[in-house]
Amino acid sequence: MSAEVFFTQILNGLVSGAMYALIGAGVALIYGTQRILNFAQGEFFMLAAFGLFLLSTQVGLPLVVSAVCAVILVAAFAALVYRAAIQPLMNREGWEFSTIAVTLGIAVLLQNVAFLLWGEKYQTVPYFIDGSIAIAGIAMPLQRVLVFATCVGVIVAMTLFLKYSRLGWAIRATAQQPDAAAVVGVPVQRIRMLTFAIGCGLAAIAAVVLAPIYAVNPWIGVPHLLKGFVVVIMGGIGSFPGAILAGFVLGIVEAIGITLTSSEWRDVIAFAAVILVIWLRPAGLLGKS
Amino acid sequence: MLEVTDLDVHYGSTRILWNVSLRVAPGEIAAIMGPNGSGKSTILKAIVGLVKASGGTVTLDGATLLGVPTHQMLARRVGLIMERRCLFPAMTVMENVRMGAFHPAAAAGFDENLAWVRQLFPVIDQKAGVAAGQLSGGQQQMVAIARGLMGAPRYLMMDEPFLGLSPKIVDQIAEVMAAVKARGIAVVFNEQNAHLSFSLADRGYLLESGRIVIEGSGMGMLENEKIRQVYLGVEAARAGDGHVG
Repeated sequence: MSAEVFFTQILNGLVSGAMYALIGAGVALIYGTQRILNFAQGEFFMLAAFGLFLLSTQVGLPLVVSAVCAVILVAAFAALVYRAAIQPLMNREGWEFSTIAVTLGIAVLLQNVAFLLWGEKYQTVPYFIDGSIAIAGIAMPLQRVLVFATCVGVIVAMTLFLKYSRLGWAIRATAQQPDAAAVVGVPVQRIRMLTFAIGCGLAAIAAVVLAPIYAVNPWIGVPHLLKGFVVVIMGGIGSFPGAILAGFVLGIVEAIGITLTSSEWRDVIAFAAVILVIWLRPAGLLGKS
Repeated sequence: MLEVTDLDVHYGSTRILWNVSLRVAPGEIAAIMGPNGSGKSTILKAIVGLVKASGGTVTLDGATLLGVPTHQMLARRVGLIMERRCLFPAMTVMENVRMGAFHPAAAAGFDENLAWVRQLFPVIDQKAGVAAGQLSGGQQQMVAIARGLMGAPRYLMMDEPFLGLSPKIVDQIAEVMAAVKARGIAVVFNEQNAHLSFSLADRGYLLESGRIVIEGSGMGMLENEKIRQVYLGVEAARAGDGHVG
């Protein structure tokens, strides 16, 4: 592998890694705060991509306005789903399994609704930015740079939000000791609903910047959900910084791996990487055993 | 005045508390003493709404507390320091202390309360940036009490505040309780050690199998024949083994 190819793949890996990190951060946020494995995370991703497609190409709103609206609508819908279908299960015995079953059911339902509404045809969304930029002599499409910048920007903003904002403190307290959080005045149920909405909103943000690169269809979310889980397991289950680190590691390992093999091996490489990590560090990269 | 009258609690079909009644006035300390599993913690959790009462009343100055959500208890100036501290382990000591004043009702006295708890517990400044989960049990208890006081409660529930602590730390916590009482804050705490409970308390309650079986002044409880024979006698034997709590 020449130095140029290697460097190109590192750049590609960073872009994919930022996307994986953002999707994984959403999964980790929800699991870390309330131990819910959200199997519908990929379908909230899909809904946001279709939302962008509808608002921009059908309704005719400007692309950026469409993207912002799609993210807000998906987060609000996620909050509704949490309130109606997940929260009632949380005080019942066996809620861990019940929530898996319910989120799987929601995933299948949303896929089929999308299929009924838009069929299996691949829908395209225009690029936010056309053209490319040269990075160390390597041409990189500006849309991919936007994906990287948006994902990294949102991750940094989210980290600062959790660390310094009043709401971020409430989310962290609820994750660590829900009863103690309630005693000091945190409305735990509302915070859990909000966290679920934010976690799905992170997937929605990734979806709107990726939609112009990947064609939009009802099953677009499934591989992203799997990669989200890979990242969360690799980073340390429930660890927000772990998911971010694992996202970048996975992106770079995949990019270099497919250069040495072929792109068909992408998922094999990803799952081999996660097996290797949990073999060497069972708690994940930043997880606590 | 905080008054609990004929409180019943069930966990599923199992009855835990039977017609429990107790009261505490501002500036008083009330102790609920009883063996392990007698339902002491359940009383405090029911008062703050962490477990649901199935019967009876809990009133504060005549207004009911039952049905008030736990996260609104500080609006009524009722706080709880939970058993085994329940700190936020990945947050720093200072973040834990500041979280105690999360409720808007605690905002007005924030600076004054923070200065007070820092004076009571120098460990707050010594370990300000350390994750709370890395502290010793005694240090964690001090941070937990500081967090509870930051909520500016007028009635403070303390669930097993001496559990697992060394005699030196027990003495320190007892001194803090006296300082809290001197500020006019009512304290209700539970404990398994009869001598420790009733020597600190203005009012004492003995709880057995979910029922209050004896009540009286702290001094009166120490002089009660049954308590002397059953609880203080047992403790005298244990004292030889250096057992605490």
